[in-house]
Amino acid sequence: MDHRKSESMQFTMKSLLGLALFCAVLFSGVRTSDAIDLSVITNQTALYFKVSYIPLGARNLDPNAINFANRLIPKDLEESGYFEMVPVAANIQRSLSNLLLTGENVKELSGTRIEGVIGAQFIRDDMGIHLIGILRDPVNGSVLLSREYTTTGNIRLVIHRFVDDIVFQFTGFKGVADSRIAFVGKDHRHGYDLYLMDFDGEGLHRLTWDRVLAYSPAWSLHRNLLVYTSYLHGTPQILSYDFLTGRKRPLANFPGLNITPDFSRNGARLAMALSRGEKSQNSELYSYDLNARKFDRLTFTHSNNLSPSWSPDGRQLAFVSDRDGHPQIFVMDSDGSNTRRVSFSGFYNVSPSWSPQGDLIAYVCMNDNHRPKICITTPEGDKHIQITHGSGQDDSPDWSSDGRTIIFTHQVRGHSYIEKMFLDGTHVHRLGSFPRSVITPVWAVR
Amino acid sequence: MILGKLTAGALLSSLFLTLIGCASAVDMQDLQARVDANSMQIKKLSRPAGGGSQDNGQLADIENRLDQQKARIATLRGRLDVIDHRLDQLMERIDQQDSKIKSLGTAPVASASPSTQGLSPTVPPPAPSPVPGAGTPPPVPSSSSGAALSAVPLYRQAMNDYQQGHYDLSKKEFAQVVSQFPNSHLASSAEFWVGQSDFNMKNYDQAIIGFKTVIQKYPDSPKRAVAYFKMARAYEYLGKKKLAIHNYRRVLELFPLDRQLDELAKRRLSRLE
Repeated sequence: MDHRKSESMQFTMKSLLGLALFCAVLFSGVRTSDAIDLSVITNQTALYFKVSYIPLGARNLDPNAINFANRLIPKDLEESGYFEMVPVAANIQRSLSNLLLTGENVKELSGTRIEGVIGAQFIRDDMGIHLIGILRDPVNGSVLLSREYTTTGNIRLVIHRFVDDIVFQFTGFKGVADSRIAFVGKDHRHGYDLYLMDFDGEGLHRLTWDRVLAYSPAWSLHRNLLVYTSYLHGTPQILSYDFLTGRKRPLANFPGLNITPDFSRNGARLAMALSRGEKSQNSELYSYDLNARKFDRLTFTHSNNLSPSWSPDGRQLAFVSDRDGHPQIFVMDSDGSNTRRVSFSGFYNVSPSWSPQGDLIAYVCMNDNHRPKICITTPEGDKHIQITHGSGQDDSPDWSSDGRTIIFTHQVRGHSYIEKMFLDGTHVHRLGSFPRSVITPVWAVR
Repeated sequence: MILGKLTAGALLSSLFLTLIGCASAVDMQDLQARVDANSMQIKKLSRPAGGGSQDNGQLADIENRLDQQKARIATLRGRLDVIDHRLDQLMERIDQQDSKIKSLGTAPVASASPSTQGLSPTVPPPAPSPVPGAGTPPPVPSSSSGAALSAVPLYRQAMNDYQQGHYDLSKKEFAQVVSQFPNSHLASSAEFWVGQSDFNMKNYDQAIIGFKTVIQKYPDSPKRAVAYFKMARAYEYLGKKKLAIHNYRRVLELFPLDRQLDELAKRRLSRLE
């Protein structure tokens, strides 16, 4: 009898101990999410090929253009994130030129582990500018790529196409050198306007001359449209800019807020946040069908819902909502159902951007010092990690179309500029040389 | 024996914590209902109020309190979400620990010598020796085999494939979660995602079967409301208007406090009726 009693007491004690341990884990030091394994990402991103570039001369071009072109090719190869440029001595340069032109083997290259030798010649004639590009294997001298590119426009265009072909030759992936980045830049009178630049920060081009507050541009290459939020008419409206005609027209100009538009990948739908004259100014998410010209309301929460970002297949949307008291990231199906929260760490998580592969969402989170930084999470919210660190405030992340790099704004002492990094947070560097502050950069995704 | 008791203890405690979660959800719903009632009262009061300054003052005061209550509800909902998320993670860990315990329980312990600890589980087991400890010792499953017995890695893999648009693959993997781990807390969600994978592949008949299973087999599933809604959507795509209307109405009847889904269902109904 005593034995049974003591066994029963032992069991009760163990159960209580188990419960206490369980509660302790629940209410104290439990991690809110597992961290994304950055080593896996690093393996995906750190794919480097050692190459050398040899200029093969130019005809009928002014020296400045030749210098610019010969500087831009290695810069773009490095900017693509796939190549490490290996500098070679003058005597080896001559041998490499010989290799590119004749295909003869080069013994001097044996110790350098160079995996490709790239050469380019530029010719201007009545047809325009020609780039004759060649890529050879330094080991056996075989031709890996040989192509002529012609443009009547800027020399940058042919260089970008050549670089994309080199990337494809080495990796089998489509390069992003031919893509462009839109952003809103401040002018010297505190106004804002839309700008475009190439993927490498070159070729800055001003699109609008409104000099009013504008932000969150969104591309649709299918429709040749760039939409953005503008205060041109006093209140925030969504305007569209047509690349073919250069015309601007209002796409959403309801009373109240018309903000944060985002195109689905196929350009068929535009998600946006509208308050539609609500007294509370709470914004709800809407999806606009550009073919049927019809708005569908997606959220009904009486809280702020904004910053939608489409998944690549257009079946889901990530967005920000303060329905839980603080701004957090949520995901829902494109019909507004199946909503679930995906950010659980901290009280401020905003500005989601869905990766082109669909497996990650980049967003702005707060670090321990209450500074906005860039984080990434899985669309289920089971894993997340902060990928930018250090001083300054980071905002508005967006992905390159190959999903390897993220651009964002980095603000230090009141001045913000665009930075670019691999998605594991490495290789952070400034992009472009816009002289004043910039906000909300967006990469054009095909 | 002791392991069994510990597992029972862990399950008891998880049940206890789940009950805590349920109670909070009920409280939330109660609070929401009270706020709605207050809102109605304010609307009624505002109609005959006319222009009396005292009435206006009272109204403003009530509105202010109402706003405070709404903010409190939102904060509570946020906390509940975080607790739910933590509970999910703890349930996942319990699943993993359970599978490890099971794998340890099935392996003969006495005959394992230290030299065989690193043996791979894929090595075919030798014939059992009549004398424990003599002859070739049987392999001991490594910790990774314990993890493979849990629903969590398979569920995560399936979700990853779903997010990348590989719906055919994700359907198979979610179905595997359901068939291999029918008692896991992830089973009902996996069943929903089987239907959702079919839905995205436009296999609407199959999707309806998946959503029906969620509704019938898992009465406590968090995905039940959205399963009704998605089933109605699937019927809509199949042109079965009456069944679609029926299921949208079920959303309104069974989940009156799910404002988001109710509004969506109302909108679909207004288009169909």
